[in-house]
Amino acid sequence: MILDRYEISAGENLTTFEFLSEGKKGQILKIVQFQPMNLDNLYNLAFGDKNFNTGQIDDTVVTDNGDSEKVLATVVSAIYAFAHRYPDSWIYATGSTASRTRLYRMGINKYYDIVVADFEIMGEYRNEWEMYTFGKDYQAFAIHKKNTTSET
Amino acid sequence: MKSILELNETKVPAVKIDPALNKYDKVVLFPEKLAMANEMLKKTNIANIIEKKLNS
Repeated sequence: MILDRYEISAGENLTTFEFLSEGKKGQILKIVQFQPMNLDNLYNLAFGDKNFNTGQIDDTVVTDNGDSEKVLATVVSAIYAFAHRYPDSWIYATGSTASRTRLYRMGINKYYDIVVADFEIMGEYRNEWEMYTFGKDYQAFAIHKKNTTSET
Repeated sequence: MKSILELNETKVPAVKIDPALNKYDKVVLFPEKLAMANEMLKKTNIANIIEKKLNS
């Protein structure tokens, strides 16, 4: 199943992606960046809105553009593209707020079967990492594309 | 060769390369969040888990 998503652009290294969210509040430019962390092959996922006029990027703004599922699906498509280019990578993700982390968790749970078919996924709970258990209230996530990923 | 429409039906999306985005290669967005993520590395067992999995 391919979820409805926006078209994405990226720099040549496929580490920074942009896409345009279109909803009830108009067009909002979104940016996704995979940032190397202090461990080889581990990348932090940064995600926020880019102000058209100032170029400033904000990861705390609540956009409320009515397209959160499509935005999340587009971020996931950026993860697929990045992980395809960097197959050894692990991607660390947590929300900038508790409610955004909850949104990520809900997205993973809603599409759990698809996620686990393609990715190994771990969750952080009280400073301990473990294999992701459906429905548990994790504070952060780490995912890695399985070698057997079905890409169609 | 697959068309763009066909590529967009795959999980790995067709990505338009925009050289203007290369400027972000040397820019860390939300550096304080990256610092917090690196702090997490020190406090948890994730480094051991990832190294073990990548070496197995």
